[in-house]
Amino acid sequence: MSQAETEEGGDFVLLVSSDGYKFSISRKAAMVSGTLQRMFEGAGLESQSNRVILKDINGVLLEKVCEYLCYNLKHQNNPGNIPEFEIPPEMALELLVASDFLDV
Amino acid sequence: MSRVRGPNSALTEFLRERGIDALAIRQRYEEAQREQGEGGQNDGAAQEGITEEDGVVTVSSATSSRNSRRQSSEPAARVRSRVSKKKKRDAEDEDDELILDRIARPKPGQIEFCAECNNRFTVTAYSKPARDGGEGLLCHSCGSKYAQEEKKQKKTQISSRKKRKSVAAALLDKQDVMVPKLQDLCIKLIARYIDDVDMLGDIGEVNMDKIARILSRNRSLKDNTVRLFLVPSVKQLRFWDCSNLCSDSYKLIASFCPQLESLVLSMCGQMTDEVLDYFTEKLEHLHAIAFNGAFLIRNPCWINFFTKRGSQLTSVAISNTLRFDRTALQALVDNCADTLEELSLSRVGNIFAADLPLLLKLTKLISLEISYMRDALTDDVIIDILKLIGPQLITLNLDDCDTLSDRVLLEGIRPYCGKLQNLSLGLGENFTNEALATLFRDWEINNGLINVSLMRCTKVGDEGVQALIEHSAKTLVILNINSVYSLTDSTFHLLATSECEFLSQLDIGFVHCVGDKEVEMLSERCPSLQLIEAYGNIRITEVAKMKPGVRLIGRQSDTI
Repeated sequence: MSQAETEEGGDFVLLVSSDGYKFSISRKAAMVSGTLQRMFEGAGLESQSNRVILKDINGVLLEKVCEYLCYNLKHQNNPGNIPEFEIPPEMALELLVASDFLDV
Repeated sequence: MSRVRGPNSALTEFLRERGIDALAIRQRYEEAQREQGEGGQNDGAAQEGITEEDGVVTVSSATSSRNSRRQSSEPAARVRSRVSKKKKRDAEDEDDELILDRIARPKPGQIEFCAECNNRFTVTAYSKPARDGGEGLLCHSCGSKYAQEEKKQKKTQISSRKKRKSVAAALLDKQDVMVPKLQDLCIKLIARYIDDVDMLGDIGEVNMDKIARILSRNRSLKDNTVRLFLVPSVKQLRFWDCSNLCSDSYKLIASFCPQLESLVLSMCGQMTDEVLDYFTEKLEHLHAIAFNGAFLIRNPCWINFFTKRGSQLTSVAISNTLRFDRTALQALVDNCADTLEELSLSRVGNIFAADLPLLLKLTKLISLEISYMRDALTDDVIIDILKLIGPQLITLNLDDCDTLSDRVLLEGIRPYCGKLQNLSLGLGENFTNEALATLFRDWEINNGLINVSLMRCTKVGDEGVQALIEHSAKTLVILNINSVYSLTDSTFHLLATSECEFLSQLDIGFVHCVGDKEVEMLSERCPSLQLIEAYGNIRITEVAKMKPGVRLIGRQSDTI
């Protein structure tokens, strides 16, 4: 569904939501999340298959998370002047739990 | 006019550069007066409006019209002739004519020729001046050609201003400028919509604490919002602004969270006897309290609390109350003596010097704060206390201690406080330089202090602080020498060359000898340095180059 652009070629990883939606995002963007970074860089199954199943995060939420990962990656080098990241208020609590888990 | 001028101020120079001078202003005023006289009373108000507008324009367009003055191009000549015609007065000297040139701008409603396409048009208040310093105005269509460009310029201007602002704001919050964390974004959003939240759910204690903190800061911790944090399993609660909670809400804390072990309530002015009695009864596991501003609670209630729960308390912090006096302290001492490790009394107005010997019973203390209670502090009491608990004491905070003298340093701290790590002697205006130096020089029983505050110890100077640096350079993490006025740069050279490998925070506000060179040197030489607070150091300018990772806050040039 959501795809991030990478500079050269595609080094993508796959995030799978609890309800089966698959999000392919650039590895760089995924590394924004401390949890995902440890998963992909560890010795586990995830680092071999480049694919993480997030059982506690549903599709809608994961889409927002991916959006944030790309937003963070894009603005990392110029953090002084960035557009606001929009979050629908009804999503805030669930998103907080998810972001707490993902360490973003 | 002679070209020879005497010395004048920067303001005069600036005004002259902008073409504003007293003569021109007077002439403009006279002109307005005269016109008002001619035009009669009927359009007096309108005229006044225009002259005012005139004045504003003069300033902004003065620089652009200055160049053209020499060329005396055709439109300029026209303007001049018109001005002089209108004035119907004899030509004065050439200089005045030039000044008039500069301030003259066609009035709205006049017919003018466009400076670019030469078409006739009616001047309005919005007519733009010609580009690139040319004389005259632009017609509507020529002016709007540039509108887009100007808009863009303005946008970049605004965004760069925004950026500067956000950088400055982050500096003040002691944070780096970075992309906000998704958690923090969510927390802010939740705090904004807190009234619509029914339940916070499983968001973790750290995030709960963060939300409670933001709500406290926004002053929106109220009776309805406080319930969100009252989860049965919670063991620690910290509410930093309870001023909006009624006494029933305080009771809810005890009835919803029976497992509570540590409770921080700040600004709890509405907390009553009834509430503390309820806490006494319900909170069986409580072992740390910090009540700031619980000024409604009376002595008998405190006594009851300490009698019933005292034997389990390890940490007590009470501040900003007048209703806590000797009898309450007696109860605290009698009941908590076996367990109490940390005691903090700050701004407790009814404790006096005669009451402090009670503390001699608290033999387990490892942290003692008696701050902003100058009436209670005397040399003898403090020395007696230090004799007793000094050998185990890790933290000692005696802020606002100008009733104490050097004896405390030499007979109390030096011989007894071997394990001391945190020492705060803020506002100790009677401690002398020599005594401080003697305290730290060859202080072998102590292995080094970690956190030291000598804020506003005004009699202290180089010798004392240098002795401190020599003694604790290897261990110092936080050093506050705010307002130690008489320090000179030799102290900072010493600090920079002493290999303070852990020093991470430094407050050097109002130490006037510190300049760009010194802070640059410190940032270069202290590898762990993260924060330098430099409020009121006028010699530190925006030129000072900091190593990445070191934040310097409080510079005058950083203001928004």
